[in-house]
Amino acid sequence: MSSTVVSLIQALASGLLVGGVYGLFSIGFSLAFGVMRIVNFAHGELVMLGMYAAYSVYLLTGADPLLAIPIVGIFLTVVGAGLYLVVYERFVGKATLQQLLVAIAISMVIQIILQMIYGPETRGVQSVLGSQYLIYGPFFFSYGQIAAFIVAVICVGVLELLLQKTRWGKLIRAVADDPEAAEIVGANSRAINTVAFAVSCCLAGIAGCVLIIYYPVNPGTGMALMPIALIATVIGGLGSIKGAFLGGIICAIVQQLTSTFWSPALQDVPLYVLLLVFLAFFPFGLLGRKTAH
Amino acid sequence: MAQDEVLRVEGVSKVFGGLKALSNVSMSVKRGEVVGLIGPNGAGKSTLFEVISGNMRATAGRIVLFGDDVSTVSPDRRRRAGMSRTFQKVRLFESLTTQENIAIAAMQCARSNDDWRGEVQSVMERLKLTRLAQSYPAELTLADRKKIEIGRAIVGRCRLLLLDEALSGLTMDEADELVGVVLSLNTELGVTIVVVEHVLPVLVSMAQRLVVLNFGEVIADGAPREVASNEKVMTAYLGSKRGAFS
Repeated sequence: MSSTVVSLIQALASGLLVGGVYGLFSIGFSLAFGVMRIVNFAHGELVMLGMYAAYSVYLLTGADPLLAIPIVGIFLTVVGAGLYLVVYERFVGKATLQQLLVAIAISMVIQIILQMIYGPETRGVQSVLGSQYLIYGPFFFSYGQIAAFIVAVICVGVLELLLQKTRWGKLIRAVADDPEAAEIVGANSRAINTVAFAVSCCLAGIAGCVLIIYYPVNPGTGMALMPIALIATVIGGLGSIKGAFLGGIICAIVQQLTSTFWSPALQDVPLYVLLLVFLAFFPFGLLGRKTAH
Repeated sequence: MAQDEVLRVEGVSKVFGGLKALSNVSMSVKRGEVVGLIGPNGAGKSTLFEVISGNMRATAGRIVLFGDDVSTVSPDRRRRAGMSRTFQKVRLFESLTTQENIAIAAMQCARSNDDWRGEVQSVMERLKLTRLAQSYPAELTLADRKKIEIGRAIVGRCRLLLLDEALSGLTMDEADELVGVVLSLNTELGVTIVVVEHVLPVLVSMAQRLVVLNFGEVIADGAPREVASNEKVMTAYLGSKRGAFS
């Protein structure tokens, strides 16, 4: 096998593994937009909050971030419900300039609070999985990334199952389609939106737990993650959960290919080109519905 | 409130900025009635539906539903109390199938012992929607979409149904079929119905009573023949004193 082919396969496989996690935090972002038309620019900071929360659990108990998923998930769920009820509720259905500015303000508040608590230094954990590699012929994969990918696939599968098969999921889809008509059939939009936003934040928390296994965190991490969630959501189709996951995988594969065959420093450049191309020519993305608002 | 009264609108006004869409509107609907709500374009019919269903809050006045003042109650609680509606422009849940569209309302309004699955099935049979159970709204004709919206409205112990221009856009045959369905809901299930409709001859044949709105005010309320010969109604509709619905 030539070295180019090996590099190509390695880049594709690594992209797939990293993309699972991108997909995981992108579906949270997409859920908030799809159901409530909230463009939550603080979503990257919520992922970062999840990373810091997992880091804190690790510091206090020595537990691996994967074991911190339940507690961090619950913590971010509560934070999400609170954020929704206190701030975002008044902007439901209106992706207005005020809503965007409020989200940016929230992201800054989260950044500042975390910087005050943890300082500006980059922090990471010594995960058992993060430091070990699966080696197969010329290919190598971090166990941390494999575990993160598995968690991401499970979360997306469970969410998709909930949305498609359960009463709660059908209610969320109904509210996403038409909140006023949903109330007319007896659905309490406020409660459903609160749950949906809390779930979106819970997914951010879980993404934070798996990300910190192999990706150290500092107060600027959220800002670095946010564009990926945005681009993945646009590529996949605004409001589409499966689309956001697919978009996350595409983003990561594009990054890995660019990094391998061009330059690691330029790995994000094609993503922004993709963003522009999709917004200009395919505004509904790969799996978005044309009825999406 | 009289025992057989299901809806009472008391002095309801609705103001949008400087525009008075409803002005001191009062009307009542008795159990088992089919009441037509008519008026020229912009008369305030749809606004009144919005206020009754809770999608809009009245600027003044009260809405009394099944004996309870629901003026400040949310639409979902009004629905669970037994009041339902359709929209002027059909608004289905596009990501749900026909069956899911109807089932979601049945589930939300069901009490613990209710067989909501059975009810969904029987409503789909009544509306001849069974063959379309797994179809999505975007794949269906307007007539079928309207039937789904009616099905979604009547499941889950619906006692009062507000129909907003259910016949508009339908062919004569489709309209006839839907009128039959609507009347059967009234005669067989005892659902009280308030209808906004522009096809006046059809409405006259359906409704036992007509309430006429013009510029946000009730200008007539009575039996169809009585209302048709009302001077104010004729002027509002035709600007003259010819028979309004002839």
